[in-house]
Amino acid sequence: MVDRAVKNFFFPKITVRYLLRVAVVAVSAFIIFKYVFIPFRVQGESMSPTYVTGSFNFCFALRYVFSSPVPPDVVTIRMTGRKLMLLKRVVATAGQSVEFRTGRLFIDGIKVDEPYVSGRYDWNRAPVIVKPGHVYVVGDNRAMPAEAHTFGQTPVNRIVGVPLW
Amino acid sequence: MVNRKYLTAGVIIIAAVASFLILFVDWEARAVKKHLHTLAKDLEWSAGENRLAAAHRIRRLQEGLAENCQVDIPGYGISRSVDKKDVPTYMLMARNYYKDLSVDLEDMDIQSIDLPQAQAIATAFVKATGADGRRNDAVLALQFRLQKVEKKWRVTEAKEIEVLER
Repeated sequence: MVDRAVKNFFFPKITVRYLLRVAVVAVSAFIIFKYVFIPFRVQGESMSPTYVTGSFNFCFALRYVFSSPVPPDVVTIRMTGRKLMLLKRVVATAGQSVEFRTGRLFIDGIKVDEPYVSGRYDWNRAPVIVKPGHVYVVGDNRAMPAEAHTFGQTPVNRIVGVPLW
Repeated sequence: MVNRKYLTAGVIIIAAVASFLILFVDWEARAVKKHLHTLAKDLEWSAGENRLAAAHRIRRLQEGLAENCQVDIPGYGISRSVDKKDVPTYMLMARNYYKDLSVDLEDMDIQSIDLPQAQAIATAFVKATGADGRRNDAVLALQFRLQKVEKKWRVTEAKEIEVLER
């Protein structure tokens, strides 16, 4: 009985019903992994120690269907498509003022507690007001000069989703 | 009789495939994509590579650009009009900064083709090792403008798209 079940599992009879089942699974997997849970691998150190280079994750693309990104969400930002995306943390939303003083983040002039930040380089940036329809994003790894780090404000419609874990 | 039946079926299939290729494949878009991928490959170099091969690649890179190509990539501090004949000089300068460099173009999209001009966008994943041995990888969103001259596409402009505004 078990032998037959195993045999049927590994060597199934190719029937119309079986082919239909395979097609449904293939199409579902394509849709899910192309548009809902987009697999990605972290490359680079800008989000360490939260996300280290080489780690694997999925981008949940439906996260902001009925809501908007808010601090301190970690988000993926598309460049010209979804094959290469930026992974950053939202620190401010539209209308807020963002400033760095000696490596500390100030939103609307108030110092923000950032337990996820590891090292702190001596970043100093004049206050910037986040434009309407934009969010301000920055990486968790501040142990590098500001010039070597990619951060700033980006339109909300560039945000694809959030990492699953 | 049987042979004629197979022959007819073969002709119909070939005609269908040819019609599909003619009607639904944008050959100019494919040519633009191929040209940009080839240029990205020609931009690569590695430490200790054959000088003749490197010179050949630089030559191909030169041929892929227009007489004057406007390059605006603030991420690398480049904003100038590059004369085709100065390409080898710039490449030698770049080789002094980086021991090795490779460029992968992903998410390429042809935005418009209005012969003899075309516009495309792509994300460039630049992997480089500085002269001091430190990794210097970067991801850039780029916009290209191309012009078709003597049946060959040439890049007239390469511009960085600002994804994160500081």
